[in-house]
Amino acid sequence: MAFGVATVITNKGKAMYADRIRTTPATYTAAPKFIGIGTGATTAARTAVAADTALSTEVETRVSGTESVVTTTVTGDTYQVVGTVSITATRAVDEVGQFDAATVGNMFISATVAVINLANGDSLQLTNKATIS
Amino acid sequence: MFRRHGAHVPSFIREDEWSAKVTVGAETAARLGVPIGTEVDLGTIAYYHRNPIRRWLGRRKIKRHALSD
Repeated sequence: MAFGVATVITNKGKAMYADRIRTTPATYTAAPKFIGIGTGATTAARTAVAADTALSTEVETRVSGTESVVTTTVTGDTYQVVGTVSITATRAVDEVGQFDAATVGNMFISATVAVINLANGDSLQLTNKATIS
Repeated sequence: MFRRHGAHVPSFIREDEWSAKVTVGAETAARLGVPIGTEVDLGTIAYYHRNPIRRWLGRRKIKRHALSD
């Protein structure tokens, strides 16, 4: 498959929704608020799909995002995470993931994006909104 | 902004929107000719990288700064 722009909630992400909505989550006990970026999707000719579990080539340190519930259509229907990743080298960012841990963990959202060329010292702020509809 | 439209939306949960912006560090600030810490959108970053004249102007600006030191 060629590289393409896409954003998907992964299969794990859907399982997180189901598990975490009950009184005591059994499997996914941490919120998927960690945002990571990568540079390998174009080389890997990868487009984000629901079966994704990791980025192709993750770079930089994941950031623990700020969570909130916001409104898209009806009150409180959207889970939002905002995080800023610090860039430490020249990067051509083409993939983004949201995870439930600072390292490894379970991937909640997988996105392959048009390349964002960044340099050392830049900061990339990402905002994700996942809406129940 | 990366937007996913209805035709691709799985049932129940929609991943409505990813958006991003960049706060520039020294290197990108010099290239773009803006102060360090300026927030720019992805279109600005992409425009700079796509446009050879803009790149050339950026390099010239850096050189001017270097000469004035």
